[in-house]
Amino acid sequence: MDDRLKWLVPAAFVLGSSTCCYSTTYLSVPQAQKECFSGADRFVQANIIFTPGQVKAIEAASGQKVFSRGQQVWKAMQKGQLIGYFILDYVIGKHLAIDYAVALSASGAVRQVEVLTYRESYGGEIRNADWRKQFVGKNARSRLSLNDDIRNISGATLSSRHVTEGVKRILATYEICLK
Amino acid sequence: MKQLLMSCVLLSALSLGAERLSAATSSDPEPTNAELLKEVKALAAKVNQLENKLAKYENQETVPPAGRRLRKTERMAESQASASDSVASNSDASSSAKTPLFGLGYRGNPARGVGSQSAESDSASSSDVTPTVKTPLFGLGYRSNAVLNIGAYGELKFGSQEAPGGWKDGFDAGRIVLLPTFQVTESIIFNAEIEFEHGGIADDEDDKLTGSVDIEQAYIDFKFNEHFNWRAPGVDVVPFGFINLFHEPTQFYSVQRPELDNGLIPTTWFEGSTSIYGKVVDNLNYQFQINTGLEDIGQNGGVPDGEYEAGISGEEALALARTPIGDFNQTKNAPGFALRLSYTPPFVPGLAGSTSVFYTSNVTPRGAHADAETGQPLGHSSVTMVDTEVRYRIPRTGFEFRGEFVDVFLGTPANLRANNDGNPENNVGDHMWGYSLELAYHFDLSKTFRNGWEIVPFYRYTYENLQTGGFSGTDENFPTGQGKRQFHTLGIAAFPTPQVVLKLDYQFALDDAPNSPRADHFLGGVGFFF
Repeated sequence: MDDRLKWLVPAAFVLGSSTCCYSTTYLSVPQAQKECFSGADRFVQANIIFTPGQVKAIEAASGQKVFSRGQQVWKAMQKGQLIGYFILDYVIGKHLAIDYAVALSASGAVRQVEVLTYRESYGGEIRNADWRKQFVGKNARSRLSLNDDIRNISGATLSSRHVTEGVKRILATYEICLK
Repeated sequence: MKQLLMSCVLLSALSLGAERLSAATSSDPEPTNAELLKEVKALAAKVNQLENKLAKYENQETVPPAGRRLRKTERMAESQASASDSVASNSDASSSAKTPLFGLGYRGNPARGVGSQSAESDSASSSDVTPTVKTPLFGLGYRSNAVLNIGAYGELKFGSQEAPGGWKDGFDAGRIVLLPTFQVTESIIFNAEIEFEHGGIADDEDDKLTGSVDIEQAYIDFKFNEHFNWRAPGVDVVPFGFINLFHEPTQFYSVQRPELDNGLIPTTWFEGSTSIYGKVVDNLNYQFQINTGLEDIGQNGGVPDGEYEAGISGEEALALARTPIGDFNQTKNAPGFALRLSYTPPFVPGLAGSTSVFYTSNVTPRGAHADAETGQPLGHSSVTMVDTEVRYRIPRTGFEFRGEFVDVFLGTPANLRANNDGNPENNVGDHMWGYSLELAYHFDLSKTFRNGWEIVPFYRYTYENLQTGGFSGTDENFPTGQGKRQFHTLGIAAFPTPQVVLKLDYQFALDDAPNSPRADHFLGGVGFFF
């Protein structure tokens, strides 16, 4: 085979595959809702628009800045009973947004954390189930501190840190706005 | 929103009715049935007209403008809205997912975004939303492609270094680096790293204020799926080891980068390159890169007729062997190949590591020759490098351990310039290697004090041997022994926040050269990364 021609094969493969779909989104919102609350028969949207007082209280309780004017929240219902909250949020990884969702039980403990979209080049290990499992059972009184009750992933430090901070903020939001 | 508009309609209708009624009362205290009927009909017509306006508004809000396809995220928002019951518990305005005021959509960090509005100025309250709003400012429809993010890291150093003639004090604006990132689409992402080293750059080489400006990274990523992504040809760091990829000053504790990354790995090692990367399985990732490789010349402008500097030597290892990235100035054709596997084994929580391999079939530049006296042309030589490194933070304790081992195999040392440059002291054999072991302990004072710092004392031992046996070439062979080096680095790093670090360390530097000057240092540093 001509020397130059052999380089065209991988190039053609890459360009060819670029015409098929590509995405950084791993779960849509309904898919994530189903992952978190498989028993739910209905998700009732229950968004929050923060008052200035709530913003201050969330920031004080979580130690995290609140950049959004509100929070997208769904109540997970099963046969008319509230079984938990599905809260959609994002944090910045190194530069780009990580879209994730926190599922809380009706009493405000973390049931599950799901990463919907991850855009950064490095640090995707936060999607691994064994890392996300550490959040299960945490509530607003948990410390939620990297290298303490949440393990850091070396090489994914910023993503690990910022998702941990995000979950802490979400738990404070529950405590102040939903409880 | 719908409820708000309905309220407006009803209020308008009532006030209209009241006006008509009072007008009728003043002109005729007892209107006839026909007149009343007329008023009621006018009122009904007005209500109809307002209802039509409302319907028109709703259509405008839900139907995308002609000729514009819905973005994927917007489609998701729509489907999400339809999949969910839109009953709000907190406010009327929050009941509609069609004009979200918040949520995943707001991407920019207002503190850092360029060309974006801040969260405050973007955030329209529910009453500000008018029927003319077509694209939501918040929510799933808004993307970070409106924002050029610029991150930064840097390190500033000061202190004393041992040199021939005694200790010298000084300061170094080591590096200030800007990190632009732009999300062109959800799956096409631009990244760059623009570095100002030692204070910038001066036009004349003999200017005492000279520094450098480097484009250390500039590439566009095409994200296909979690297993396969393509980094289009650009400038990128070579996926080899840990520090070469993650070299921000908050990632290591010493003032200077670890010694293995100062020659054996020519950090920051960046090349013209293209790569693919992704996840093999959970906890195991890969990156495979094709790049311009290394070259055995330590100066710019190609091989001259006379003397030229070696790129690979027993004194500086590979520090000068990186290929230039500008103006097609590379001096050889053989590409380099690098593969890095990184892992975070779930059965050992807190452990992370990587293994990297680099290979190029030839590093000899075009026109390479032995020193001026012998002058014969030099043939090809390959270079193979292997690195394994681990980082282990024992969970729920402050203990951290790091270790690294680097091997460099030189295919045909007789063809390397260092063995043919007339200098008998910088010769190289067929192998260079080194390792380092580091122990650190993290004292997290934030557990005790609010806003407490994290203090990390550490000790690192490094050994490297750049002049193992197997010398050959036209040079005489008098290795000085200074290629056999040991470093003991003892210091402390303090993190007021994870983004800022203050460092202080003392390094004992030893080599095997009988009369070599000591090269200890006592340095302080300030680093940041955000």
